[in-house]
Amino acid sequence: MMEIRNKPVAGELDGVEIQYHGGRNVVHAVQGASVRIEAGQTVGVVGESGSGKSTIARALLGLLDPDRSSLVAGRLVLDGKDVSRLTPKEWQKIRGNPAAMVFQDPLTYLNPVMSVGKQIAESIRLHDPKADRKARVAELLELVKLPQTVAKSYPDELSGGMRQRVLMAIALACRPKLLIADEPTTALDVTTQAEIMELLADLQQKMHMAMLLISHDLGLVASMCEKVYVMYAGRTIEWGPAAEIFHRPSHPYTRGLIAAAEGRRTKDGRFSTIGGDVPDMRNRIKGCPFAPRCGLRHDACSEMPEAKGAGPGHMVRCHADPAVVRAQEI
Amino acid sequence: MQTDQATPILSMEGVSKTFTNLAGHPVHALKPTTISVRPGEIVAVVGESGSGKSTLARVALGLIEPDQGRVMVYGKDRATLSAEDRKKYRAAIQPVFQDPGTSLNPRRSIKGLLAQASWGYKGDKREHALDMLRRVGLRPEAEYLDRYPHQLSGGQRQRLAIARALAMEPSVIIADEPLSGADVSIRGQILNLLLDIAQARGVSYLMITHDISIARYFADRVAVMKDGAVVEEGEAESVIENPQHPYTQKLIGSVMRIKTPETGA
Repeated sequence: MMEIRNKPVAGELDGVEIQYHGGRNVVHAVQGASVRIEAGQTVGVVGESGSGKSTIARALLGLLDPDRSSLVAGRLVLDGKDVSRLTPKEWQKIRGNPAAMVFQDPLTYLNPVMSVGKQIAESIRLHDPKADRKARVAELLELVKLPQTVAKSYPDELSGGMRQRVLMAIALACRPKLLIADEPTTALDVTTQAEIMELLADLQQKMHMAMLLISHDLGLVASMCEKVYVMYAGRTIEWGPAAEIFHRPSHPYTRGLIAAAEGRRTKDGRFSTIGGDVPDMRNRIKGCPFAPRCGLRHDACSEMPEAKGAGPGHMVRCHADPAVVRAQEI
Repeated sequence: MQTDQATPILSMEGVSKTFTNLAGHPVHALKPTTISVRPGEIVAVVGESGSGKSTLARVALGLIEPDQGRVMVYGKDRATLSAEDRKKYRAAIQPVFQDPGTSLNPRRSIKGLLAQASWGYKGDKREHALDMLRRVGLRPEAEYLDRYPHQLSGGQRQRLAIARALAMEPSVIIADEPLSGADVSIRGQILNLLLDIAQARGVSYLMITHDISIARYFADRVAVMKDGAVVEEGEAESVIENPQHPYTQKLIGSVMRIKTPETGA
């Protein structure tokens, strides 16, 4: 692959395969995903439910339950170091710095019987026992634009947007070089979403932080990210600069997804859809996972294609000619 | 039931609802609001959480009684109807809820769920159930009868919820965020299905949604709600493309859209 390796890498997944196992069932949740986030960069991963996007985010922070899941292939890198084989104890030491995470539903990640200030202070204490915690809590609240009085509040007293700001303060307490945000605004109203995303972009600049934004919302990713990866059935199938992906999508799935997300009606008054269903992830898929739903399918699709160039910095894993994909009637 | 184009099928006139919160303070969930749905019309109510849009849906369905105002069904005040008429008119207005995973009884098979929804149906209930499944595109329909909701995918469950609403041959379907849990590729399938039903059976929709693009491209008319009141109402395209009220402008401005060559941005 022709990626220029001039900047230090904040986070990377390289050829990652992840399985979940429970009882007799195995789910091949990730079957080949490579994502690279350079220092200071904002990278988006888009996909529908079951595409494996949240699994890779959690894997990159060592949050997968070792008893129920395993990294069967590939490599995880944080801040230039290989973290593929860390033990849970080792993960605990590095979580927060170099990488920290904010989640979709802040209420599940906050302790309901501990004041917000204490929860932020706890995060500071674990990573920097000598810090002046009171001063740091005040500083962090100001950073996420919350009033100082919030320190004495409990999570249930706050609105959804304020809770997400608290989660951000906790994540930022350790000054991460990479912030992983998994659907950070999915539970919020659009006007609140706009405020939170503006704040995130602002903080990222101020703290020279890279961000990995996981979302099903193409509009959000298009507005926020420099670089975008599209996942389908546990694989990264197309990636490149955001403008390339959204202006010149070169995988039939990406094109279909963008048309469906825009929500406009076609000439015959119908809404765009992608026919068929996502594959059953209990199976390991040998060929292109999108082939059964694809209008351009042919014999070669029984093999998973290698990545090929579709434009500047733009890569796609599809046998079809990118020009043919872009000209396809949908 | 007969329809004439002039009389709205469902019309809420100055309906309001005030709840009391845990601290004993009044919460004006719905301030006096007027909104109507004419035969064959698709009306979208957009707003954020706390705007009163779900309270409005519950008033329309008769699940809560408004404190003030009247709910008119086919031009008749619902509060003054006889018990028998009330039942008939209730059947004409059917709900589809947000999360079919929780609004479908998990202990009933699909056959049972559809039979339950067809109360009062005089013919063969099994045939009726098969007909509903066919209409919502769950085929081969006979294979679905003995399944349970958890054996369906999210999109199939939403189709089943729509089949259930259709079982009573309604004139209006009140859909409260029917697509907010669905993936984008499924969203189009469900919207197409709702359009087909509207065309084939002349069903009207009152769709409650937070999704501006659904309001813009699915609905004929849009009402924007904030803090329990409608702040702007009009033809879908003109409200969304040329909003007049500052709140509508803010709401639409907050939506992050994909900028593609086709959208011209």
